[in-house]
Amino acid sequence: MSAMRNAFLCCVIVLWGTMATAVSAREIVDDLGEKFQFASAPQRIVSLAPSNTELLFALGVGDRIVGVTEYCNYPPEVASIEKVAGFNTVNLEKIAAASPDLIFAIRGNDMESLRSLRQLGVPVFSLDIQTLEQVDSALRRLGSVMQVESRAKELADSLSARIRGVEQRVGKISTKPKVMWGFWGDPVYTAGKGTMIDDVIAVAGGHNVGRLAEGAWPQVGLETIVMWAPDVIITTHIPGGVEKLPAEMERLRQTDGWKQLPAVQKGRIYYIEGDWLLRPGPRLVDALEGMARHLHPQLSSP
Amino acid sequence: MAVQRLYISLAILAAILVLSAILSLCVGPVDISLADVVTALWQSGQGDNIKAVILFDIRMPRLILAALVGAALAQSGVVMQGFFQNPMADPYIVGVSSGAGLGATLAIWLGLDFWFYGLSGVGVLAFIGALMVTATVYFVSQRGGRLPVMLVLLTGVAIGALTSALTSFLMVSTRGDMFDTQRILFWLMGSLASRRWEHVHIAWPQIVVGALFLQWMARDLNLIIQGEENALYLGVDVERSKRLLLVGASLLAAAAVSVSGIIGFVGLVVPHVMRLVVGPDNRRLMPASMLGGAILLVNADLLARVVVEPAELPIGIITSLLGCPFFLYLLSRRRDIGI
Repeated sequence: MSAMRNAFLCCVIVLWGTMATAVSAREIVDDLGEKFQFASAPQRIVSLAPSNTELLFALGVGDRIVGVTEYCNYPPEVASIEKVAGFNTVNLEKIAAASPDLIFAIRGNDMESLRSLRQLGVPVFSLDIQTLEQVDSALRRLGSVMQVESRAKELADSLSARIRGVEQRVGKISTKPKVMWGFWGDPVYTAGKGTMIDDVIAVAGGHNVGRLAEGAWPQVGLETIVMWAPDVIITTHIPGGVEKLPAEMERLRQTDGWKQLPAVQKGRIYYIEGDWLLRPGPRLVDALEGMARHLHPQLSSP
Repeated sequence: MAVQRLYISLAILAAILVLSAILSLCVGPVDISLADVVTALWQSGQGDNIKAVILFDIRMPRLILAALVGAALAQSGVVMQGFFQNPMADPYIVGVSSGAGLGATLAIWLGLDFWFYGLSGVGVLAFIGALMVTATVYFVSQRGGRLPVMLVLLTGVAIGALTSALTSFLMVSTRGDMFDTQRILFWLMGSLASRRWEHVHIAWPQIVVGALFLQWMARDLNLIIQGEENALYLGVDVERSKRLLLVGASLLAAAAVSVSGIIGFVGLVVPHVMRLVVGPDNRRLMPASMLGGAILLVNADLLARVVVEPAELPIGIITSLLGCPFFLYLLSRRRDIGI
C-alpha cells in the first residue's frame, strides 16, 4: 500500500517536474528582464552587436542572420551580411526592410531605437554579459531561443571547462601580479570594478589595480598609476599596430613617471586583441587564456 | 513690402517644404518610389507590406517631427533676437540648451529608465532642466517686476556656462560607463533617429500652441523693438509682453529640445535669412521663419539619414555644415542686417 502510494507520488512528482521544465523551457528571460516564448525558432535575426553576431555563429546559426552592425567583423562570413546599424545608431528602415523575426540586442544599444523596433512588432531579445560566468547562462538561453539547445550546451560546457582549466592552473600560485588595463595616452582610461576586463584579470590570477578607483571606466592620472605601480600592463590598442609595441616600450622607458613603473622596467606590457577582450562573446575565453599566459608565464599553457 | 508679395513668398516656401517632404519620404536606405508613396498615402497605410511600415511608422513621424522642431526653433529664434535686439541671440540664449543638456546628462548618469507618454526619461529630464534653468535666469534677472534685457542676456550667459560646466563634470565623473558617455555626446549633438509617433503626439500640441501664441504676440514684439517707451505710449503693457514673449519662446524651444536633443544653428540663422526675404516685420517674419526652419530641418534630416548609411549623423552637424556657408554667402551681399 505504502509502496504503491510512494510510486504514485513519484509519478506525480516526475510528471509535474517534466511539465514544469517543459513550460520553463519555453519561457526564456533576457537580461533586461523581458520574458519570451517562441513557438518556432527565429529564422531572420538582426544582430545589434559584434558579440551577438559571434555568439550566433558559434551556435551554428550564423546563416539565420539577416542584418549586422558595421562593427561586426568576425567570423569572415559576416562580410556578406547586410549592415543595418552603426556604433550607436540603428537604421530602423534597413531593419524593417530585412523583415526580421528577432532583434538580438545588448544593454548598450540605443533605448529609443529598441523601443521603436518593439513598436514595429519585432521581439527584441537583449543580453548583458559582464562576466565570464554569465557567458554560460547567456549561451544556454540563446540556445533555447534559437532551439539549438544541444549545440549551446556543448559550447557552454567547453567554454566553462576552459575557464575552470585556467582557474585550476592559476589557483596554485600565491603571488598575484598587479595588473592595469589601459593605454598610455592622455587621458588614461582603465577598467574598474564591474567590468568584464576586471573579471578576466581576476580569473586569470591577477589583481586589477583599476579596482582602486571609483567607477567602471575611471580616468586616471599618471600620479595615481605611479602609486599603483602595476607589474603588468595589458593593452588592447597600440597606435600603428602591435608591431609598434617594442618602440612604444622603449619610449616609455625614457618617459618620466612611466619609466618608474615595474611593468615598464621589466618590459611586461602585453597586447591582447581588443575584439577578444572587449566583446562578451566566445572569444572572451581566448582573451582569458592569453591573459593567464601573460600574467603567469611560468605556467604551462594548455 | 506689399501683402501680396508676402503671400507669394509664403506660398513659395510652403511649396518648397512640401517638395522637401515628398523627397524625404522617397529617399532613404530603402528605395521607395514616388508611385509607392502616392499609393501608400492613397490607401492610408492599408496592408502591412514593408514599404508601408517604413513609410508610415518610420519616415513619416520623423519627417513631421523634423518640420515641427525646425519651425519651433526658428520661431523661438525670431522672438529671442527681437527680445534681445541682438543678432547673436538664438532659442538657447537664456539657458534652454544648457539646462536641457544637464537634465539629459543627469538622466543618463543616474541610469533613469522610464517612459512618460512615449518620451524617454532623458527627454523628460531635458525638458525639466530647460525650464528650471530658464526660470532661474528669469528670476535672477528680475528687478522689481521688470526684466532689463541686458541683465537677462548676461544672466543667461553666466548660468548657461555654469550649467554646461556641471554637465561636463557629470560626463567626466567616474560613474558613467562608456555607453553612457556615447549616449550623452549623441544627445548633445541632436538627432531625430528612431523618433516615433509617440514623439509627434507629445510635441505637436506644445509646439503648435506655443508658435501660434508667439505669432499672436508679434505686434507687441514689433512695438517693443521700436523702443520700450514708445510701445508703452502705444498701449502695450511692455513688461507683461516681455515676460510672455520670453517664457513662450523658452517653452517652445524646450518642447523642441526634449524630443530632438540640442540642434544648433536653426534658430540663429533661419530668422536672419528670412529677414532678408520678407523683411523685419515680425508678423511676417514669424510664419516665414517657421516654414524656413521646417525646410532646413527636413532636408538636414534627410542628409543625416543617408550620408553615412547605415549609420546616421547627428543632425546638428548637418544644420551647421549646410547652413553656415549659405548664411555667410547671404551676409557677404549685405551691408547690414536689421532686426
